[in-house]
Amino acid sequence: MMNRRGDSELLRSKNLVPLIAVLLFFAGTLYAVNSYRDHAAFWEDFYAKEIARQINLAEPGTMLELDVTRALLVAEGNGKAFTTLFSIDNEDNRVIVSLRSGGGRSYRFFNDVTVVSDNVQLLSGPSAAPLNHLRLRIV
Amino acid sequence: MRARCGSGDIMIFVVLGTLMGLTLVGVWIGIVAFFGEGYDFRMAESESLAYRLERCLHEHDAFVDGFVLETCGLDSEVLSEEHVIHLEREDGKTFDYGVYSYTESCYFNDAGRTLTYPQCAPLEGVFHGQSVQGIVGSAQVARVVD
Repeated sequence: MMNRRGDSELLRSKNLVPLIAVLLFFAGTLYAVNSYRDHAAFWEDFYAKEIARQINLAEPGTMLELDVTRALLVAEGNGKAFTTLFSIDNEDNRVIVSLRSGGGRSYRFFNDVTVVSDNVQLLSGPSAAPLNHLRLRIV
Repeated sequence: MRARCGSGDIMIFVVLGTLMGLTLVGVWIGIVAFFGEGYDFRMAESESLAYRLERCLHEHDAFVDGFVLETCGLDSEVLSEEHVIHLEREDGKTFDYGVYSYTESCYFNDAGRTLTYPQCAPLEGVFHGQSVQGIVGSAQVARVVD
């Protein structure tokens, strides 16, 4: 037989608040830990910084071509579309790398240039290193 | 009838808060132990900035009034928040930009391990007939985006 009185006691608003707090906390923790799956957070950090370094040292008119095979392998494991992995925010001088759905890392470059990025070129699929290139044109 | 918040309710939040805090610390220690603290890029960025500035100082005089970093092709807005440039010329003139307090924290022993401190690269040379010495530092960290 169901304990109706107990159920209503459990659902009283003063009990619900800590329950919701605990659920939110563990959901947030799981989300944060999930970002480290397949070392995605590390590789986002790495690629954002290394791309920023190449942009910082580049002269206007330069074409940068970067091997991003490792990033593609991580993104493939996370079911992320290859066309949305790398983006450049020229307003804020920011390189944004996202190798998983729902998040990523960004890093700012100090070179006062405009960067035009083409999509990642998959010449032979993500497992055919080192043929997966990201092209950046420095203007 | 409104429920009143008694000492028992406060105790629940204290205990819950403590448990959440301990869990967070445990999770963070586990992540750092397994993955490391991330890719430390501060010195590499400082060296890149020092290289760019050195090339620029051969062409432009940074110690004149009205000099802006855009003359060197550098974005002053980016460099104002998490970087420092401190240059001293032999005649006593100085050029400072960015977070000035970094000039001291550059030399902390823990700067290599603690990511909130900057790491700095030296910059020295003779430009326009005058000897210049200084440091260039970065404490930039990658930001999480949604």
